[in-house]
Amino acid sequence: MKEINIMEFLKEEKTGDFHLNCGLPIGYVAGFPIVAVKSGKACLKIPFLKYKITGQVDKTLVYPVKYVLTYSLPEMKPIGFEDLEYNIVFKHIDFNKPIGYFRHDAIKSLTKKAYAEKKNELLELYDDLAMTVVDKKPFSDGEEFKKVLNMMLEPSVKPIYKVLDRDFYDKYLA
Amino acid sequence: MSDENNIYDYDPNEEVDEMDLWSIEDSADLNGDGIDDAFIESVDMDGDGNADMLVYSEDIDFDGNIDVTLMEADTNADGMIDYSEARYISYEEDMSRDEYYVSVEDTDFDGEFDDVDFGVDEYSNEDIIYDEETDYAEVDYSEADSTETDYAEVDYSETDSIETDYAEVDYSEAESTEADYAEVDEEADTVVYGYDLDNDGTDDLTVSATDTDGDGIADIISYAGDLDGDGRVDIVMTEADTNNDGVADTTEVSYISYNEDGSSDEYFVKAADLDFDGEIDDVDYGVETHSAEEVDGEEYTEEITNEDSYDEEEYIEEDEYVDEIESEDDTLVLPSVDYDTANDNGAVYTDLDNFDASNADAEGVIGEPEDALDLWEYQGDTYRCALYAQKFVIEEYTGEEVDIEDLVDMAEDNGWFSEGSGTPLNHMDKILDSYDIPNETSYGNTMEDLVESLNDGNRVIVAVDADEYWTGENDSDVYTPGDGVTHAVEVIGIDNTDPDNPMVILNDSGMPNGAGVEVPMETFMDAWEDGNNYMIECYIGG
Repeated sequence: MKEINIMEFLKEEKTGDFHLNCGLPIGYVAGFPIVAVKSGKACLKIPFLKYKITGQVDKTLVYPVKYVLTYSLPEMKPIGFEDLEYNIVFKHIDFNKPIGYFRHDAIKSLTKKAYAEKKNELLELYDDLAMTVVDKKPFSDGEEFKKVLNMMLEPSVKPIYKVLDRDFYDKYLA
Repeated sequence: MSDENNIYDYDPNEEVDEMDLWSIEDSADLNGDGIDDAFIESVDMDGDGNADMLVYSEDIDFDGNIDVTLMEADTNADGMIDYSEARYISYEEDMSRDEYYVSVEDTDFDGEFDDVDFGVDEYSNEDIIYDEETDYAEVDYSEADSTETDYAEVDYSETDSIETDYAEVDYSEAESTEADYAEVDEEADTVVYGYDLDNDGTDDLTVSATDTDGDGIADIISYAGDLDGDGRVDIVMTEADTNNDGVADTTEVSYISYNEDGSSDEYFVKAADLDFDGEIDDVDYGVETHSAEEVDGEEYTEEITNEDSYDEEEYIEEDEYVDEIESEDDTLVLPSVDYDTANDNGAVYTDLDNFDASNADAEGVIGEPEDALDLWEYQGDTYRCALYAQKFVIEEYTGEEVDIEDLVDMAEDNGWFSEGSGTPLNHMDKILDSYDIPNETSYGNTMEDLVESLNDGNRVIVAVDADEYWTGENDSDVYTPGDGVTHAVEVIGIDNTDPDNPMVILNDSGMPNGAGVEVPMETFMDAWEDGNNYMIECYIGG
């Protein structure tokens, strides 16, 4: 079975044919993905959102997730695209208005380099989670994953994750 | 409630004179404002000196109104709980309210709960439960049993509660009116308190406080009760401060009914303050079934492997969730940030110089940066970077000035650009095409490829993660969490004046001083790599 390496996949995905044909404007970058199950099949939902540097420390603006690209696991075959502007749940959301600041409290001590290292650590845990979902086995690092994810994910986007996948939210973000 | 066996004719909604029947067992000021927010109260309904009903109530949003109640009662005074109810109370502006409840009852008093109910009760503002004029903080508790301390400090010696907490917690400096939920042991993430309500030596109610972010303040409080004494939790209430602002924003109450085959039905009520404004704006209730194979830590996988868990009645597919939203006309509310970007200085530009031909070694300069400098313009607070990059090339190719607004109109009309969001990567060459400028797009390029193209007299547009050079080195505290293309620029040359420190010369429309800005090559490569080394070569050279 194909090995899952989400970090590598996210790197290649942004210039992959599916991503390009979906027409995401430059500036929208991948947020922390969601390992989900659709009709009993494992998949990876990647939310895309934008940030804006203001120049002030911890005042980088965070904007709402606007796009979600979904790929099958472990094949990484594109299976879905959604522009949340057309999702009725988001009908009152202005996607060009910031909803929060980065860095949030939990990571205020992390420099750019330290954040990148922690992010890589989290993405490796994502690989483990994805494999367990594909293999239908217990995820022994669930608590660690939950801890690191809640540390790294911007609090302002958490409500969006609840909409994107209730199961994932209830398990790891609630 | 089963009136036949309720010899007390007790109506939970009837206003009671609390000083006659109710005894405040304990209370706590959870947010330190001097007003108690949480209460455990016992009611001796038959006057025999033993509590027959226990009520836990809490003002979770600290607005002075009780939001959540947990109640259990021994209606026939046989020493066993036969009725339990959990309620979440949602208030309207006129103080009318909706009470979402889950209740269970042992109607035949055989020790087994056989009746479960859940739903919502609507009350007008004239249906008073609590005396609006009575502020709990003003009640004279001098003769009450409550010691007004934190839960762990309450002396339960006369009620036979166990006195040993699961964790050794030091409360020597804790004051209930000032402390947060609990002074958590620094070495423990979770502190658990136990209450043996029926004096059988086994805890029936446990309260656990979890500090998720290590700041010493509990962020998640859970209450779990074993109502029938069978060793399994029947009632769970959890409240969480998900954004760590000191106010609980998520509350869930569940009653768990165990079936003979080992599976269980969880009747729940959930409430959430999605935008953290102190107002509950999302309430949900229903029932979830858990298979017999579910154990802690494996629930997620088990739900996936057990196809029964995907029964349409039980599993909420994304579309069904949307359907629920549509029917309830209830949409997502997100927090907002009031930041005026018009007055900020934009990105942080650290130690970046601009190309100066007079200081450069002409032999070491690749490309024709001097010719391109005058074409640079600042894009301002817009998403027009790709349009400006193409504009610079077009003006050099045609020798004529182009109005950016014409390019904006063209791009928007053709769907290549949106003023609110910018240009997709695969449309960054569309305006070039419309001006019949020969060009070629490619990925995975090397610096050698870029140099070769410049040497051939081409103009080069690249997609980069501008964060890599706008915000300084890796020890910077100003950065974004994303890894990807954020910007489009024109590469107008390479400056090898200092061979040990080669610089890539850019016309960067996103910087106020972006004409010929010099970026260290290594830094440029990091920025370019985040766009998988995307490049548009424009063939306008000789």
